[in-house]
Amino acid sequence: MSLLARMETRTEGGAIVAVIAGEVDISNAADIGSALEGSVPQRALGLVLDLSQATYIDSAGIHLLFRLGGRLTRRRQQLRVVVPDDAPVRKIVTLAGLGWTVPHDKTVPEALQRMKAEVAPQLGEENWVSSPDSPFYY
Amino acid sequence: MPRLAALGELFARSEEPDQGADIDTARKLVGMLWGLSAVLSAAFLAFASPDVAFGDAGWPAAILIVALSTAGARWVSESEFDFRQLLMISYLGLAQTALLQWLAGGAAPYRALFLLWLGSGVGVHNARRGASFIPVVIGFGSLPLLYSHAPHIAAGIATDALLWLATGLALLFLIQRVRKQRAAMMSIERDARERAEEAVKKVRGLEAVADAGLAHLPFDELLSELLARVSRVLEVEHAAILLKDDERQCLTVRAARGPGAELAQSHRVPLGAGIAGQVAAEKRPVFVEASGADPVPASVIWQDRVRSVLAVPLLVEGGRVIGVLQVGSSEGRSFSDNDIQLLQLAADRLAVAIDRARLNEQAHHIAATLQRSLLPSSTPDVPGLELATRYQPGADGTQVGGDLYDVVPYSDGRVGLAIGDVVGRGIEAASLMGQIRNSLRAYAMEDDRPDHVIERLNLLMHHWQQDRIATLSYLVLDPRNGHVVFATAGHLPPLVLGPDGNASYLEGGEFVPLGVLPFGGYTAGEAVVKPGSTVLLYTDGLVEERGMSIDDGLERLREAIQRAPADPDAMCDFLLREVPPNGAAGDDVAVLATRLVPVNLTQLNLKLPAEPESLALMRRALERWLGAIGVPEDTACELKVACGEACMNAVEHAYPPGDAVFEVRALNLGENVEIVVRDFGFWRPPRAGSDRGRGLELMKRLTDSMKVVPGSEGTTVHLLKAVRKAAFV
Repeated sequence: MSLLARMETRTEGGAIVAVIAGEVDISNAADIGSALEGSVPQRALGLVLDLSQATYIDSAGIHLLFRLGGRLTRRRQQLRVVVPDDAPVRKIVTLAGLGWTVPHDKTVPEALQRMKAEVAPQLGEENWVSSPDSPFYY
Repeated sequence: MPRLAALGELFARSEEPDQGADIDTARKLVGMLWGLSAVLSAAFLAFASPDVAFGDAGWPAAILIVALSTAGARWVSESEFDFRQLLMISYLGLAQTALLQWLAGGAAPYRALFLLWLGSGVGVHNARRGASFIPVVIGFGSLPLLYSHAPHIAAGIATDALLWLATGLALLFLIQRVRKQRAAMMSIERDARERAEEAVKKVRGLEAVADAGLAHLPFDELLSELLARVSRVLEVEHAAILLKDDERQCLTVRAARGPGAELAQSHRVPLGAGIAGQVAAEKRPVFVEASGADPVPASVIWQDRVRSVLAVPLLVEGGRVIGVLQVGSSEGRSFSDNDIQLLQLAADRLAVAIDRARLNEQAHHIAATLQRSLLPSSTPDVPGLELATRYQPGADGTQVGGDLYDVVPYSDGRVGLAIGDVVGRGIEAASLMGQIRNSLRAYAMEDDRPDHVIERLNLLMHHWQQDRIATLSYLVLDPRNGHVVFATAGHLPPLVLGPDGNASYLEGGEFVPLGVLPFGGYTAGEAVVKPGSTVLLYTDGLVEERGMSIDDGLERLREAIQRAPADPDAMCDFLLREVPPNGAAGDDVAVLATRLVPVNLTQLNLKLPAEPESLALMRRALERWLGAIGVPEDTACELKVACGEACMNAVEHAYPPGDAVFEVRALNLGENVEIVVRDFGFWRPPRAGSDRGRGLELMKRLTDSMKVVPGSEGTTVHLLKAVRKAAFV
């Protein structure tokens, strides 16, 4: 069985940046969702999910993003999704109306900057935030 | 007629042994004849005076002759003369009788003396020499006719008649003798021939069981081949090998041959029971023949089918019995010592082979298990590609080769094809091959460029496996557009068979084998293969032969693939059959054939198992098809998502889970593409909080028309989308 997606996470500016390359569908959405959720420590500002290298996402993936956004919001953290204009999944993400609940950005630095502006750091010391080892394959 | 033939033979044959007489008897007989001749001559002198030819001077001559004959008689019987000399002496006797007769003016009584010499010739000597007497005797006997004044007319006629009669009888006697001699000769010849045939048979039998070629046979074939040969040489219809099972304390039939052999197969005989049991216990050959009409009672495995059985023990070092070899015949026949020796020889040979095979079987089992675990057990399903792989072990089946191949599917539908060869053989080469294969997979996951993958493998190998060398080809093929990127580390170039039936080798991307240099330098070659092409990767066993240049081997392969069937499986079989120069006796051969299936431009039909993993396969197939019919990439992406949503529903609702399938059909309608997804379950109402609604909404927004048709046998989703931008202009 082939692996559809590769996920790499890193810490940057007090937030977790996760880059997903490949395809997200019903066969791996649940695994990616729980991994993403677990990768965000309490101290982090939130999660920047970079979908610029994702080649496919369907309603299962969109559902995962809605759910993740909701969970992080309840933890007073933020989920931001990076989808540049030329991203293959741009149209789907837009059509699915993700923008209503999960903010979109064009680049990672832009997303980090906005996150910093919108989310108050919890417990301070955001520089201590570390991410789990990566990459992961799903 | 046979008599005439014998007569001809009598005078024709020049070389004949001195049959029918021993030399002592012959000497005595000739001596006796001389004595008798002397006595009779003396007697004849009384009434046929030897004074006719020479006058009175004849008397002393005649007396001298008689005296010499008397002395000669004794001399001859005590001499050391051989047959040839005795013959001369017999002629001498004839001559002295003829002399006496002449002296007596051809007097008839002397003619009777010729009979003596005739007897000497015929009785003492062999047929031919005896026969030579007949004309001589007749000649001398006829001499008196030349003498005009022959006296004793009456006695002369009587002796002449007697002489002629004796001559005839002598001739008959001689003919009889020739026949006897001939019969004796023939029987000697026959005996000699039989002995020779027996010897040849024995040698053939020995050859048959000692044939060195047998050593190359796999164990089971060796057993059946030896049984076949033993049956042929000994002319028996039944043969069986029973092996001793120490745990069960019995003999188990390991191989059998002849009518009802399948019944005998795996039959168990308790130790000590039957003929086989007796042989195993006594460690010596046993022959049992049925008496009367009853079959051999003690033949446990053949029951009522045989009437004679010969069994010998299978002995190994230390005189240990490991089994029994037995043959049986349904005719009551006996076996010669040669037969028993031959069977024992076959048994000895078998015993060694079985002992060794038991060890080899273990080694082979380990090797085969390792082999299987190191090569991919199956090739993945890659939409748009047909893959076939073959690994053919070299001549020595117990040795694991270092040939490797692998198929690495990438998530975007491309596929990595690897083939390589670790220099060397055996467990070590195989384990290195396994390591390379795993490392290759790991590196391929990180980086899709073949030259990068090979470069990292080279560093790894140089670092960890010093002084080990391997060749490798890694090729990444995109089924959607036929784009090929490849790099080669000292391996033979990939071969591409185009849809037009012409084959050519890919050029470029070559560098030294893995493990040779501590630094990289690998580059990638690129090519585009047309739909319908086949890419062939192979190891050197397919094309290399001692004494033949590699270019000739490559040309031979290129020529062969142009004749090969298009189906990759059939192609692999064909190439393995046709190309390896040494046939199955050569080196290991690994072959990996990948066919880029031509795209049907009017429609795409898929039938996939109703499970989440099928969605990726559907996307691969659909994107390849959409690409082939010229749908722009962003439109294709949208159709992919829409179709994915429909398929997701099919997967979620398929009943029963497990064997369920769903179908996807895409139709090229020119400006539009229609996609129909059909499942065989029914759609349950969406669960609360499910994303079902979102999926339906996506489908609707991504297509121009969407229709869900529920039915009693399943649900069908119709999607229609304009795919040509030109349509809107």
